[in-house]
Amino acid sequence: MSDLDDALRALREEHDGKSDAAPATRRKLLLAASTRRRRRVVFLKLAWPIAAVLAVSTAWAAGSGRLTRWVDALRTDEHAEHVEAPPPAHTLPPPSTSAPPPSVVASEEEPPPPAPSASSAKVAPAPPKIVDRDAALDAEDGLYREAHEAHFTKKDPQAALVAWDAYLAKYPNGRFAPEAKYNRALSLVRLGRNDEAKQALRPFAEGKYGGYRQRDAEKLLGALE
Amino acid sequence: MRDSSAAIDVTFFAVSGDGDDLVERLRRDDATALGQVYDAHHEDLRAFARRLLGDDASAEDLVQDTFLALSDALKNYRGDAPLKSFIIGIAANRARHHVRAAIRRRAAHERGGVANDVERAPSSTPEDRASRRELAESLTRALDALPFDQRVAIVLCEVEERTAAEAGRIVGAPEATIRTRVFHAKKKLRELLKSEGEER
Repeated sequence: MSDLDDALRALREEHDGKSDAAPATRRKLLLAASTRRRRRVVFLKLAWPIAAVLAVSTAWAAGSGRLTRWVDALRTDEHAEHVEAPPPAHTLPPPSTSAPPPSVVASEEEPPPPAPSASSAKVAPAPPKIVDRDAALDAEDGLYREAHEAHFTKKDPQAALVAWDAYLAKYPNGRFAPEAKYNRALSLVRLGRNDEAKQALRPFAEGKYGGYRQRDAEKLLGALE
Repeated sequence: MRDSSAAIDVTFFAVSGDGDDLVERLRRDDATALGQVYDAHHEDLRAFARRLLGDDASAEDLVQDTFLALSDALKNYRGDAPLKSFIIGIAANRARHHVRAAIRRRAAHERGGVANDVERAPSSTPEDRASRRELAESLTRALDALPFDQRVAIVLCEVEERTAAEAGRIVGAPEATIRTRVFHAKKKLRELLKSEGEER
């Protein structure tokens, strides 16, 4: 028999599975298993009711049309947070009236979702095409679309201002109210109504709408001062 | 290494009492089930761990580590291998860093001139026991020089006398691969033991 065979046999015989530490190891393992099981039970007891409440709430919100509004609102917020600084030297087109605009740098307002591909600040995307769930939403969308068309397609600041005012009069807290207010301010800038424009831009610059258009508003205000 | 075609794989019979219910309870961290499995398999697992690591403290860590990982690992257990083999497989997979720890500890002991206080198996005379212990320690030192996979293969096949097929199931490798690992491991171990003998 070779040295290696002897050594293998010696290793086999030398090391068996008996140990004084075995009972202590057993106790530790059982304790760990009990703790893990208890945690799992607590988790399940909490998770199921929470999941049930969420499911019922979601079903109710979807049935009542509120879910869509919440999602739209969230998208609007998200959009506002991710809007970057306006493209450099994007000067607003001159208004159709004789009043010259101040030489300001600003960015056009994009409509809020549901036009998810609209990410460029230069291109005015199509107005939202929301699948209507009730007449109220339809009416609000209609007003917004009108204002959007006057502002971005026809580029008529006077008509746009009237349309934004009409929208905000009817829906002061509507889904697109922040966008409408900002675009209204831009219309005022284009019309040369600088004092009103400053007044309209100030809440954005002061962060009343979070970070939404804050930097743009600050730049516009700076140029108007 | 035993011939897989001729030898009876006793492991399959040894765990035939492990039913689906026990496995299911283990998956749910049932402490009683874990206690049953520990009682049934801890000695085999500890023996494997000691032979693989050559160090009692590291072996105990590996035993604990393995049983702690059992309930999660059982999510992938299909019942196509005996539970004992499955447990040894978990240990083999988790042993890598325990091997490193054991090697470091052994090196520290040798630097400090501290002998491993291991003497368990009965033997005929004190001389026999001392000789066996010395041989086992020599082999453990030689194992430290092997790649991890070869180390596991030789412990499973040559020290624990499992078939290459069973060792393959345990470590999740083909039987031929195990045979190759054992072949290379034995070749290297012979050289190492020979050179150590010449140095004395």
